[in-house]
Amino acid sequence: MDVDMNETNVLLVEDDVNVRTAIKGMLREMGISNIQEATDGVKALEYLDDHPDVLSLIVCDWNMPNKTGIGLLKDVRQAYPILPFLMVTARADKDSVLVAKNADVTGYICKPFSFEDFRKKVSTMLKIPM
Amino acid sequence: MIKRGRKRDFYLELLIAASIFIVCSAFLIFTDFFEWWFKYTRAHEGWELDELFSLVFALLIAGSVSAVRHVLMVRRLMKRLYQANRDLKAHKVERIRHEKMIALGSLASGLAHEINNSMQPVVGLGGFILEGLKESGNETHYEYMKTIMNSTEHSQGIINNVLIFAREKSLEYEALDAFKILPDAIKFSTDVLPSSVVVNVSFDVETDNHEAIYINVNRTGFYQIFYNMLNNASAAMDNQGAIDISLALDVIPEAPHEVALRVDIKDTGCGIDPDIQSKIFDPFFSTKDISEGTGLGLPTVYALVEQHGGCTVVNSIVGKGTVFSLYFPIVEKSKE
Ligand SMILES: Nc1ncnc2c1ncn2[C@@H]1O[C@H](COP(=O)(O)OP(=O)(O)O)[C@@H](O)[C@H]1O
Ligand SMILES: [Mg+2]
Repeated sequence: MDVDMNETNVLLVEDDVNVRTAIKGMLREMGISNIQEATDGVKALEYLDDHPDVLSLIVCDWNMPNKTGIGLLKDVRQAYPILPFLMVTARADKDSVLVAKNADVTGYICKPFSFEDFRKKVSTMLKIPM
Repeated sequence: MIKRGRKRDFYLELLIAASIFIVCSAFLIFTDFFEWWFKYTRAHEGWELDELFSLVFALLIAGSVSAVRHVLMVRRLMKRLYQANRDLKAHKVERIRHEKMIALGSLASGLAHEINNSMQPVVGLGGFILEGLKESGNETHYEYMKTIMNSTEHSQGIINNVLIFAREKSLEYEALDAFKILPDAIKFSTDVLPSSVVVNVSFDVETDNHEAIYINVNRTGFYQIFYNMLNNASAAMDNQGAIDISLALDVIPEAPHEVALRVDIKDTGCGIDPDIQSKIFDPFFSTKDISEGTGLGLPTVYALVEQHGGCTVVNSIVGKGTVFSLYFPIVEKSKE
């Protein structure tokens, strides 16, 4: 299956502006240009309410003010049971991974990750042939 | 200090008893007490004072025997009390150490998470800049960037150790044959040691028909344990001499019912001063130059071995050398 990068819409949820810029840069390097940004879970939900069914992927930080990544994931799963959701976090312990898995996360990657690791994760999730 | 105090008390008691004895006997001798008593009793035959005297004498003997028994009992009780006091002190030290570790661990893991987060741009984007500089042919800036990336990798190593020490990094384990994984781990570390250091490995261990010994191992963690241990041993010997690694079947010191493989790593280095032996497992404790030691080697080993279900014990003599004993519980092989 061929994936058209122009039709790939990514919502990037991350409160740290530098990290957000970095991840956006990596997505661009992959050829993805439709990137929406949100600084926390509440703003992400607002975007989802205003633009239903347009996203191909959510890339989301765990620790954020207002609504954490795991809170957002749980809310997203109510309306979108299979929308690819990639958790990007500095939490590397088993319990955190388990919590995310139980909330039905699609992918999990630990910060700081290299472009290669990120590209592989995102490609698999979007089923982009490598 | 306690011991000296106890001895002094005992001698004091002895001295008092001796003084009383001397004073009493002097009094009895100088007053000719018994002669007077003898005459007195002859003069008053009817009183039957002989019998009375015998009674008093018997009482005296009974009293002194019971006094001696009491002194002995008090001594025994005192001994127990001192022991309890010592135990309590040791326990308190252990508890304070434990609490300090927990506090340090949570501080360190919080810090490590924050740093890992802010490292994302460097780790994620640095590669592109490196690529770009390489293509542009700007040699100098390419070298600068490479230095930045190397330095980043180095700090990543430190942060990873901190996370292991804080038990915040989960490890996957598999049951592996110690006779196979140990040589791998040792070789991995010996390869980077100076050639003036010799590592002797002796795997003579009594097993039934030389069967495999299985231990639960996280490969990366296991390699790191030996890497840290051998580097420390080598540094303690000024990178000159022999390190002996040997195996033994033993039990875990704190859990004597649990059979373990003990790995002894023995060096003939400078040894560890008794005063600092309690500190060597503290994170960031180091006697080395800032460029040579981070003080994270032993705390990481301690945490890793503990996560492998075992424990680390140190025996050291200043000027002679050090033996670190690592205990790994033996497991039944379930697969195959
Ligand atoms: N084999 C050894 N012989 C003598 N001293 C040692 C040995 N291993 C460790 N030490 C002492 O313990 C300290 C802490 O060791 P470690 O945690 O590995 O940190 P570092 O090696 O970075 O100093 C060392 O600085 C050293 O003083
Ligand atoms: Mg060290």
